[in-house]
Amino acid sequence: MRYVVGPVADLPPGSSKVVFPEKVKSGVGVFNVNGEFYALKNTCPHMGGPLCVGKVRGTSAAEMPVDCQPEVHWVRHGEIVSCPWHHWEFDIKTGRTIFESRQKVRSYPVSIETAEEFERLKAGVETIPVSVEGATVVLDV
Amino acid sequence: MIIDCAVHPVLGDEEFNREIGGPWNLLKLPPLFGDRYRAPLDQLAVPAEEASSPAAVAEQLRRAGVDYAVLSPTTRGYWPNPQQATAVARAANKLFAEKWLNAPEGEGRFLGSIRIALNDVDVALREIDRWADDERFVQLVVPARALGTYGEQRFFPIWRAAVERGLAVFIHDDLGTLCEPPPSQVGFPSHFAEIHAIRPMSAIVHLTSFIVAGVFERLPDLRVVLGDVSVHAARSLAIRTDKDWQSDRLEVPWVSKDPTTYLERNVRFVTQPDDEISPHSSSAAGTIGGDNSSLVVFGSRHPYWDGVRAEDVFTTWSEKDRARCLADNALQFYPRLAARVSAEISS
Repeated sequence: MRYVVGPVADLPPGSSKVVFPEKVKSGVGVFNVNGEFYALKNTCPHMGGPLCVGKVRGTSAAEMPVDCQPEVHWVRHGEIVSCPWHHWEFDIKTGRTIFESRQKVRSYPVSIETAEEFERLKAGVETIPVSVEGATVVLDV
Repeated sequence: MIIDCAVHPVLGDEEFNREIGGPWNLLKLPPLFGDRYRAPLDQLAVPAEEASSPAAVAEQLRRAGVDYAVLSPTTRGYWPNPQQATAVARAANKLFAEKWLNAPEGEGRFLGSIRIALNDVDVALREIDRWADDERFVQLVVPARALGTYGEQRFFPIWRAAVERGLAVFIHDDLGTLCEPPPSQVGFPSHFAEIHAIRPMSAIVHLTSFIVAGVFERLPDLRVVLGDVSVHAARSLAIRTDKDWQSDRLEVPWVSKDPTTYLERNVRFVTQPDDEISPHSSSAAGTIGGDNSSLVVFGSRHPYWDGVRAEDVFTTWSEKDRARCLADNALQFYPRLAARVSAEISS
């Protein structure tokens, strides 16, 4: 099932939005990471928190020189979302945790449709009222 | 086979002070058990002269069926004067090597611990080099009541040297200590009974520090033996660290595994008084988060009054699990012990 999220122009790089398609009661977070769109289920696999309203940020990575103390570097800024409940971190692009674990948040395909294609699709998709000028973000749930 | 990983030879004040030499021996040594919290009882289970006699300790071990004993004398904790601290550590090692390791009564049972002063890392490394060629030294021993947490970078070269020389690191609560940090986060307890009960705390702080600072990540072969905390107590705290690790790791990204993974790989626990009555000791596995029988090493704590006999530890465990505690775990954990025993078996 396809779900129209809204105009691309409303989701600039670095922004995100939680939408609520019929099929996914807890919602789906749609993220624009440097011009690429990704979607994650708005449910943290840890305790069920509303993951996608969490802070989008980077994460830390270690460097371990042999001759002195370990160093911390801030990396992948804007590619990580942390759950507002317990701050578990997830890679927005894959839904995987940063620290090794078996837990993973469900991700969904996102596509960008031109205005014309959007008009063609319109009949068959669940929509939310938006005025569409340019390209549209569409979610497959 | 029985390997006793915690035997504490007492270096008599007079001989110890003579060995320390001038000008440091113009000062009296602090009492063995400290002077702030006087026990309402005699803290030695045997007469003082037996506690400081290699022959008497050897006889005790022979009667107890102990094949090998790892001996660690106390040097009364942290000494503020770095030159004096150096002299004390060196005197302890020299006296111990000459009087105890070389004692014919030991009949090969005695294994040793290298004492180091932690005031200066370079001096500590030199002291390790002075003794580490002697294969009978199987570990370093450092006081649990320290002035810093052992995960701090300033101590790292010492742990690295231990790994390079195949020595384990024993963290032991020395009781008597010259510089005493407040023994708890809320300052000074009032009674001996409190001090006696909270002894595990400093070891738990060091353990957490080792894990979080990434010492075990950087030195995967480091072997730490904790002398004063039970595996149950340490595990419950480490599990607490595991609980929020997905969140807490942000500050310390070098920790690549769950904290309890390091505990199981890099740390062993000397049998404790609480093992004898704790409900967690009735079964070897599954009580606090895992298999404890692989993480404990037997230590009698002879000649201290709150010590234990081999036949009284983990009495409800299977023979196989008890054998791990009494010998197998130590054989696997102390690199030099494994080498020594396999050499003796093949010769």
